[in-house]
Amino acid sequence: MSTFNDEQIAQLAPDANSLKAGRDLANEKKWPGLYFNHRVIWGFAQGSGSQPYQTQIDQSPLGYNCSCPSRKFPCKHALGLLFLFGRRPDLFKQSPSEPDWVEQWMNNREEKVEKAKANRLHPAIKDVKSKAKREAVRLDLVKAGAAELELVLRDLLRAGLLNLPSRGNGFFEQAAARMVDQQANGLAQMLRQFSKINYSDGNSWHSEVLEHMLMIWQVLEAFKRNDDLPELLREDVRSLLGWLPNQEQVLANDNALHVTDQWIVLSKQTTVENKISVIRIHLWGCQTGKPALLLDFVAPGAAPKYHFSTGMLIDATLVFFPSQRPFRAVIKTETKTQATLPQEIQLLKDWQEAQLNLSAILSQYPWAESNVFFLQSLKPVHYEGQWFLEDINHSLIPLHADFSEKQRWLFMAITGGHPFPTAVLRKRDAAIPLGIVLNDGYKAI
Amino acid sequence: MNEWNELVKLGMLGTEKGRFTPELLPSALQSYFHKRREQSDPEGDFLKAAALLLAFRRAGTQAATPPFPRVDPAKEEEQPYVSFEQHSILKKLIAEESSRDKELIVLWLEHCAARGRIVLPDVLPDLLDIQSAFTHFPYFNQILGKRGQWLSSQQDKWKLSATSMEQIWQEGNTAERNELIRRLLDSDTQQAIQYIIAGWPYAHVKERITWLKGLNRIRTDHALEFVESTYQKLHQSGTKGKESIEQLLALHAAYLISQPSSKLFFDFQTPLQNLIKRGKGFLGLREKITIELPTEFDDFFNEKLNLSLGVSIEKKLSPSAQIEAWFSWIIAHIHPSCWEAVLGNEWRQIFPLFPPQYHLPLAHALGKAARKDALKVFITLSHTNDIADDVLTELRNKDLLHHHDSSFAQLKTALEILPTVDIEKFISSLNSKQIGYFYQSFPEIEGEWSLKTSLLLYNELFDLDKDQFAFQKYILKQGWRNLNLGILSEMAKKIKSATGYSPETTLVNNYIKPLYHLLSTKQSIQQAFHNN
Repeated sequence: MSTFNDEQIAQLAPDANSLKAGRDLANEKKWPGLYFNHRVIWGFAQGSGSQPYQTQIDQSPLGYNCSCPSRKFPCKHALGLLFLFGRRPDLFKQSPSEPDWVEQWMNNREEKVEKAKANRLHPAIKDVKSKAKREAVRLDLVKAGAAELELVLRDLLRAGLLNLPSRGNGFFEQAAARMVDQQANGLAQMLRQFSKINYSDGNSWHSEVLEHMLMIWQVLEAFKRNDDLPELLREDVRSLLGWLPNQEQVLANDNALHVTDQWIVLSKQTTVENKISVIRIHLWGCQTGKPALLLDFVAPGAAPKYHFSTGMLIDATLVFFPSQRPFRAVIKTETKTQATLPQEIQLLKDWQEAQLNLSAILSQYPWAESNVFFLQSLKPVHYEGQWFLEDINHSLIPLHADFSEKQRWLFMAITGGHPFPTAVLRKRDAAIPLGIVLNDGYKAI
Repeated sequence: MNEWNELVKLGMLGTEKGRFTPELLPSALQSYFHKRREQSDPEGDFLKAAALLLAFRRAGTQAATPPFPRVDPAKEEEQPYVSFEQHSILKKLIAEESSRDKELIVLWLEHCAARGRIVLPDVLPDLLDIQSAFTHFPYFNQILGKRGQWLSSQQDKWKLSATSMEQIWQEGNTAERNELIRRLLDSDTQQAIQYIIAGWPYAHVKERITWLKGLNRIRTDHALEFVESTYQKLHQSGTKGKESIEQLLALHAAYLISQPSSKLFFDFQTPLQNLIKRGKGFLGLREKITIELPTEFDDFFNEKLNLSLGVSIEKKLSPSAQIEAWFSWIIAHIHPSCWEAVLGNEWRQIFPLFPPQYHLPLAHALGKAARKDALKVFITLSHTNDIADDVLTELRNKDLLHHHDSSFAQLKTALEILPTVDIEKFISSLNSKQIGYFYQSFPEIEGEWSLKTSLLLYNELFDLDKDQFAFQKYILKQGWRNLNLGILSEMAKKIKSATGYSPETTLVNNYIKPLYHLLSTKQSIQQAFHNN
């Protein structure tokens, strides 16, 4: 039986109203019956109707179901049940047998997992010829797009990048639109990044603009040499250009890197891009010391694929997208979700080891702009308005500007200036703390 | 890394104006670049070299070890932390950031301090921010713990918050002492005055003026006593003192006017008179002085001003006069049958129950209801001097219909003289329209009478009509917040059931929900600390 703390449960709420309602429902008086066993928690929520709602939670992999009419997921009853289970597990009666409605739902879930496995093993036969033809057309389009973009970059460079801000966002949007026409969505996305640079902050954008331009240029150069590239690097270039394999393809690929480990959820970040919620979940393998990124694209009204909160520990096998730098992954099998960390976690000793790690990554994959590291011992320090993360050797890496002043002081308050095992996202020359190991648990910052 | 900066500069300038040469690269890369170099392609050369240098730079970044002074980490706590439940309440209060929640935060901190507990570290930055921007809680230090003290010492704006008042007063600089006085004047006036009195002999004149400026907002006996003694001392200290006192008078003009019992008022009436008459700088002061009239401004004061300074100030109605006006209007609009339901049909006996000043609006109501018999009674009654002959004449001439300007409607007194049970009967006899007159014209809560009547009205109202939001709004006004928590909780529940929390209703959002939130959170705080 694993329980989650309030903070972890709060992150599962689809919105603030549901969270509030869920917290209000974490009251034993509102639950005439509360039960659990090794795989499922269930209860009856007293609602406004004559019959109580039937609410159930699959403990691993985490899943929810409720007979209430809410379209939110998880609904307030599921959240309330989770909060209550987290706070007062003693109120729940252990019951090896399950009522029909619980058993049926759990069996359906298990069947679905099995079916998905079977589908991956025996994919439906597609029209291979037609697909190859479409691929060839797209390849030609992307080649033309890449050539066009290289000319644009060269023109910009010839005239000098100092004039870039005066061109305005429209310039990049137009260039990105051209890349979309050429079916090079990855390039379009990279071009749009130019618009996100802060051009009003003195000269600090100069270096950032050039770095970003070089990232694009390296994709174009690599693509020119596509046939000569090692297979995995070729996959990387294809991904950067916009040929992303879907998750089912990755799961079905037996040659892809499979890693089984206990994974700590280091951070979970949701952004909305073109009305699609993009959920980024950073993981760290306790035994392997490997970082991984789960990406979930959720359309409005749809349920997210992963129900993890920061600090959770997942026993799972991940399949990594084919890459020189295996980082993005999908979960193939998940056996257990729990809230407490294991005794031993594979961590990096200091900044030097992290840097060696980064150098190795960059030698394989120069586009690695954000990298996750989990160090044994880091503490925040500041001096005259400058903030750093200090390792055991007193070596310092500055805190990234994205880590706000408020977050910095919060980090300072939580650590009290003491060193803790700390997970960071290294971006360019600076780092963003993601969380620390505190009192045998992982606490997100 | 200078090489990278040089390349960035070149990129900004453009390859048309500047040209890349391998010498711009670090020596370790130069040979590599020479090998790779092909025919002239300025942009290609630049991009290849910059990409190479970027990878070189990123892969070789070393963590720095600058020699700046290290701060020792926080010491271990000796006091227990608050429970998770208590912590959750505080976190929620901090997150909501409404003015009411500050009141609740104060309550939470009081409970926390009383139980010798300290806050969990993750609320410290927000709490210190609130403390530095808000007020100085005397018990704030007790709940910070060692971690909080340590954290506050690292940021100037927090230092003052976590230091004891005595320490600031004894050891702080002028700005810190002034800030302490400013906060104390809001939260603990008596303590502020004590500090001012103690510090006065040693303070610089600018500091003294700052303190007196702060005192200008305060209307307590302590403040008055201090200001009076200060003025007297300055007055007796010759020409130099006179100049100072003129400046101070300018600061305190409104304050002095609001204290008619103050001897200073008479001692300094000439400069005050000038000040009021001209409404601008006097005795060499260049700044224009604006006098804000005190809220307790009344007839007595105006008369005093008129007699002593020859100044007459147009005034708004005082609260008591406002009540009279309201009730005059109310009684003129209440149907006579309401009174009859309680007091019987004999108006010859009803009229004497009301002091004479109520008779005219009562007659107005009788006129509107065409109760000619009752009006005959009114006219034949022997009224006191307040009902002058000319008023009676007017009543007759105007057929008893137009008496809005009358000043003798005093339902308040009528209700005061009636036993509670009769008031209850009276109110229950009103229909919802009549209740409407009541709530639209009701004065602010004042004293036991208002409470009694309002509760009766309130109870009646909720059985009458769910849409009487205006009265509910009134009930929830500030005056009620000091009442018994149980009564308020009961009211909030009734309001909730009556209104169904319609989210589109401004009233609900602005008054009912905040009140309900206030009450329920207060109860949560008390309960959370009661259990632990």
